[in-house]
Amino acid sequence: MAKPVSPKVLPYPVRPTASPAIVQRGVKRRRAAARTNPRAQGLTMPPVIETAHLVMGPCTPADAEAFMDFCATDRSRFLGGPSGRADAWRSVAIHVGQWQLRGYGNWWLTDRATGKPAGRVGLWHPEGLVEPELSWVIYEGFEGKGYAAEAARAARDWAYANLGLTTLISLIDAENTRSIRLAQRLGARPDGVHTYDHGGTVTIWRHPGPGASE
Amino acid sequence: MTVTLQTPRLVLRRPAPRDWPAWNGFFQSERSAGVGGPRSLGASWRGFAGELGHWEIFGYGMWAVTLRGDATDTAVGLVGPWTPADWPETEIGWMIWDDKIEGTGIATEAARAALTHAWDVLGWTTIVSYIAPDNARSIRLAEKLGATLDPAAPQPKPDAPVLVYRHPRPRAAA
Repeated sequence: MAKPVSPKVLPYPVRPTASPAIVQRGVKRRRAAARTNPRAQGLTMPPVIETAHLVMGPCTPADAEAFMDFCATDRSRFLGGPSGRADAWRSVAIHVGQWQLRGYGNWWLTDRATGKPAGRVGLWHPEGLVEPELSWVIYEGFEGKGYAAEAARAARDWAYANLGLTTLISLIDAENTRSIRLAQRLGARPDGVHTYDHGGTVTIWRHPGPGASE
Repeated sequence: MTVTLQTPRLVLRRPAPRDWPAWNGFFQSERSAGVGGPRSLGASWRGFAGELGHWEIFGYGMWAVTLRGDATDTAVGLVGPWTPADWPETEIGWMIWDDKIEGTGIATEAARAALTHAWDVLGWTTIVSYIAPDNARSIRLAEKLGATLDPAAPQPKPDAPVLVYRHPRPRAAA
């Protein structure tokens, strides 16, 4: 297996009025607070992360359109699809808004080679889920390149480094064999089942903690 | 950029995570029947996240309506632009969460400010409000604002038709 790519995390824009010392103290305080309350990190949108093949960042109009196209196809069946633009756009808005509520969420992936939207990977944590879920969606044409694994590792590393989390889960349908293979590659193991409040049961895949070998 | 509007009695500001209790109190109650409620806790949360996301995506959205001088900064409702990708036209919507402001004209005051902003600053060329057929309070507000029913307007959710009220363009629009 290829060595995990070490992502380069670009600093979140800092207000220019703050002096470096104040910024530094603020960062330390926020990081300390984040260990007990991830929301205290204060992020309201995803910080840009660059990996070998991807730029992971905030949702652009092109990202929203690509996600709605994805939702219109049968490829979205494990996300409750196919669904029309009405539901698909609301899903985009919910994921974007989650950053303000939680201080973490999903990144929108851009393929560095083509500049095109390639998928959505990150932390989904709606009300009703007791801990954040590491989830991944890769659009048609970008499969088989290891992009999901690359982005999932970067998101997981970011969560461990910045939120004080020591584990993550992924909720995967028993018939979603591609996703199960990816969870296994990431070192996750089955850890019970989760039943959605709207019905439907999925396997809980538990990820290894920071520093654990996959 | 986030725009805050001020009226004689109100401050309309961007909604924030601290508005969740007021939002959820409304959406878990029967008062939300006119806007698709009551909702489960999960559905209520997703709706709130979507409101916050709308602002991030467009740079505008429905404002949290607060009373000037209220030190608790508690939102009594949401009023303003709502333009999801599937909407056929640009909408100004409203939902009033707090019973106590019933009959005070506060909803009208907030909606007028939102409409003026949409015409003058957002540069909208048409404005509708989508209202459930049995939401009598909302219909009264639309009529008070001078909007008129447009039976020929395209429906936002063709499977579940609503009343489409169209707002008059101000005569002085430059």
